[in-house]
Amino acid sequence: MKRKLCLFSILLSALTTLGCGKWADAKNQKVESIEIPEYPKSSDSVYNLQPSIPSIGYGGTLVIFNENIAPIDLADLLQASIDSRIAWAESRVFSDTTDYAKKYAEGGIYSRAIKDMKSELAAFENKEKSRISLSEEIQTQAAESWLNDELQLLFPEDQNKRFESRTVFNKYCEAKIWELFSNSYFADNLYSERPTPNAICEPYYKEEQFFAGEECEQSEDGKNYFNCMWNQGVKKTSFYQDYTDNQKVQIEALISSETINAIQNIVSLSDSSFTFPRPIYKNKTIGKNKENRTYFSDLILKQEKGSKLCEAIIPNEKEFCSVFQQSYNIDQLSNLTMSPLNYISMMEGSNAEKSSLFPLPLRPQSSFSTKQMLFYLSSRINHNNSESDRFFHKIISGRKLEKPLSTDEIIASKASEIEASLSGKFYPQLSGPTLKEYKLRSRQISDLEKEFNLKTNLYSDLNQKITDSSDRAFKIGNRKNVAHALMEIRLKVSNREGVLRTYFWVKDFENTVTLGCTNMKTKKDFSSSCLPHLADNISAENINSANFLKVDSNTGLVELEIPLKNSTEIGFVQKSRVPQNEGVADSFSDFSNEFYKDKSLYFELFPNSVFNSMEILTGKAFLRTAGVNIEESAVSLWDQNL
Amino acid sequence: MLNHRLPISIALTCLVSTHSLAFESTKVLPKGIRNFNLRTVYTETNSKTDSNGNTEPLAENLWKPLKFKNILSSEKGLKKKQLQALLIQQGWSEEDSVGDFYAELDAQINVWAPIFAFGISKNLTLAAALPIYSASTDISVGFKSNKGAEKFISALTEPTMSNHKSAIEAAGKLLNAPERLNTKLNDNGYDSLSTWNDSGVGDLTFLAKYLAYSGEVFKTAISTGFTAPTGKTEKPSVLTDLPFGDGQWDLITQLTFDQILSSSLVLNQFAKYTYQMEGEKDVRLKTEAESIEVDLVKLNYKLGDKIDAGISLQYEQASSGFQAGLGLVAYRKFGDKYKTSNLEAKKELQKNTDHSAYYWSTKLGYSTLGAYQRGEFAAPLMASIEYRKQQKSENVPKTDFTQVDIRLFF
Repeated sequence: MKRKLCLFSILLSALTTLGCGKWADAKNQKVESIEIPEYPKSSDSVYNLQPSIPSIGYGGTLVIFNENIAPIDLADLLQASIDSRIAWAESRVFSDTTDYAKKYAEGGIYSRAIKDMKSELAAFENKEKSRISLSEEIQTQAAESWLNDELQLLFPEDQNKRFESRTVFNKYCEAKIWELFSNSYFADNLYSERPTPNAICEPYYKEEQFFAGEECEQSEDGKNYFNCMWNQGVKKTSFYQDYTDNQKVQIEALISSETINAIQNIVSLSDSSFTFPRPIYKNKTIGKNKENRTYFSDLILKQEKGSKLCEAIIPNEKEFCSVFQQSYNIDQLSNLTMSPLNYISMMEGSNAEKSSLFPLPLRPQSSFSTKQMLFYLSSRINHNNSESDRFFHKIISGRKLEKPLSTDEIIASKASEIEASLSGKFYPQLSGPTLKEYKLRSRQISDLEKEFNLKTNLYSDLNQKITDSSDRAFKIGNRKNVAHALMEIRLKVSNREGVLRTYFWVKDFENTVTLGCTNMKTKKDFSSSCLPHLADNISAENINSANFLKVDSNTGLVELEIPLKNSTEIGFVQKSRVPQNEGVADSFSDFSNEFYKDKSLYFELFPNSVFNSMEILTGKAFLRTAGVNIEESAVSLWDQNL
Repeated sequence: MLNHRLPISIALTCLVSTHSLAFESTKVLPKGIRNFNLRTVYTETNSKTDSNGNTEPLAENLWKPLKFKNILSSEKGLKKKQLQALLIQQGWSEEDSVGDFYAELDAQINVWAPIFAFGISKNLTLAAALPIYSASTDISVGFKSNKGAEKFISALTEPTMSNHKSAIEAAGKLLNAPERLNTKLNDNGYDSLSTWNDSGVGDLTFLAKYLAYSGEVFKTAISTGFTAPTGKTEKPSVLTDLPFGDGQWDLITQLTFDQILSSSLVLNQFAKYTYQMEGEKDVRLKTEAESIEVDLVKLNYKLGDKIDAGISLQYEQASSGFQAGLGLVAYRKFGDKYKTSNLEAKKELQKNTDHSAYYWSTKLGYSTLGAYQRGEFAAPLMASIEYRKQQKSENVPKTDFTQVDIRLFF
């Protein structure tokens, strides 16, 4: 019993003191975290400078933050800054990989080659086509069938549309009679056959018995057909018929068998004068020079109410200035009360507003429109002959009419396609080996143009992205409470003969540069005694010394402090913001000139490279007073080839 | 981040009262007889159960993601705005995380409770108990960064962003996340998370037990008493300390039944209700979203009342003095209530304060009372060892207890 009791007591004692001297001991827990990243550049490439790149010109922005900036604005600014860097870098990569400056820039290899090849091809084509001539019969048939063919092409299923369009075209044909009558090219020449106002209108003229009289018959010796064009042309048009009786009396008094030769002289290139007949007109004389002739022609064609222009030519002659006056309503095309010139503008598409009154559908499988083709064939620019005139007018002098030079760049660019579509109708057609060579050379040009356009468009898009992102950054920077100042700054850096130089200036204040220098071997700053290096091409008149320039070999960190005691010279000056909605956002500074004077600007910059192509500097800058940071700024700089 | 204090020793207080709860009895001391009982309880734990009864680490509340909003809360001025701007620019949320804290918390507790009892009359016994605690905790906090951290650092080091200085600073902070957590705790008036140990007295308990009915087969006893707040409560500035008392007065009442099955075998049933009176203490107004940068205030509170109930079969052989028992105990504590107008903090303070647990208990003991009465032993002693196994619980530490009682009658 006692033994049992002793054993039990020992056991109890042991259990009673079981926990004595033991303390809680938690198992040690690990910390497993992401590796600490390293700075991208080492000491031997401070500022991204390399032995092969001794100098880089950085440009960018300095934003002195307002401490009340909203995080969303800061995020927008950050994104705009990133977008801007990407846009610049993409442009740089594109430029480098395509050798853009040499190949695609203005005056580069491609544009010169294309120009030369086009010129050579045109010469080749002209030379080959000059050996071929189309018969008059073919050209006349082509002119007579042109309108039918076009309307069939535009409205293959719609007879009504074709009919309505033909009606409008007919009126256009009448307007072309007015145009030819008032055109000096017409008045200045003698013809063996009645010249047509427009060859494609001849079926209509014939149908409506225009140019039916004796005065319109052909003349082997040649004549001017001025009477024919007036009596058998202009006076038969609906434009003329729409005049009031009173207007007709005035016009016929002005242009009669007695005066028509004088009118012709005015319209023609020859200097002449014209005295208005009595009793309606008061013996006034106009037409003393060529300008007056043009005005007179325009007056007939435009038929505008007496304008200052008219009155300037013929002072105090309101009767004359309103003689051709048409009261027309541009919105009521169905009334057909437009002037002949407006009608021509509408049909030939030379005026977008007028052209919209009579829209035509797209020409199927064609890069040009019917109106563009009509313009190409029929427009008379600056009192010169049209392409149609070149084909069909028979000038007695034997002078060969020139091909009109289009002032419209779009039409000019489509000339070869328009002519190709009329090949064998109005224009000679290349064939056989000549055509094959022509097509081959055309394709070569086309391929080059495609590549050229692709590259230039891409480059243009990239530059637009740069502009857009930059504009956006400036707009954000100008938002309320975002920044106290937004400045464009420049930092030119060089490493020559063991000396690291940093030239700082503010855009538009290039005349004052602050220079910091460090000996790269000893890493000692000697900004106070340093001078610009000639190879750095610094043209500033004033060179200030930086407080210091330091380089950290391990991180690539560059520290630069600029004294601002000469703030107004350096460019740290108060500058008003561009008011919202009043132009493009620009740099600004809300701080006064005095504010900056007792401060310094301390930069803390790290180099990096975007897309391994564009060198950048990022970091912060602080406005300091006596070495204490008082305002924080963000700095974004990139290689701008300064 | 740390939402709940460790509720370990609160649960222990019930074990060091004047009665051994699993093996209750209607027995009272004969008039004039005194009894001194040295009760020893030892336990250790590093896990607890949640409100669904699932086991989780004791430091589960520290297993938290480190979110951008946590980082932002430690930044200010332009730097804070720059981080906010980065989140907006990258399309991240302040709720996104960059890593996860994890931790292990280990707790050990020794309690020695001297219990003195005195037979006032043949039916009434008075008892008092003052436990003495010796407790320690140890915590180790770890951190593991995640994909969010990788994205964060790589966004800063992206050449188009080129902000390596900030990236290096941020990566360094992540590597020192546990230290920074301690710094943040210190900045907000907390002690660092580290080893803690202390010893001291717990709450003093007085209890009167009255044998109300004593028949041949059935016996009934009624107990009533109180607990005085003599033990130290938790310090709001220490997140890993253990309280030795709950800070306010408790009223206790208990009903006990014995059914005599044979001369050696008794079936016992009991039910105990503990009413916890209102108290006042310093409390951190933690919320679910923020548990560190919070105000320290004095709050009135009322801990939830407790119900203990049990049933046991006890064997006592008078001739040999051998004792044994097998019992089942159910424990329930209702939720705490705090008086504050800060509803978020109130919700957080009251969260998971509703406890319940079931324990199996076994007991072995030896009594010299028979031998003493027969003159075979010099002193009337009783010694027992009890092992309590937690079967099921909610919101209480996952722990088993070993209890040793040595009683001397005089």
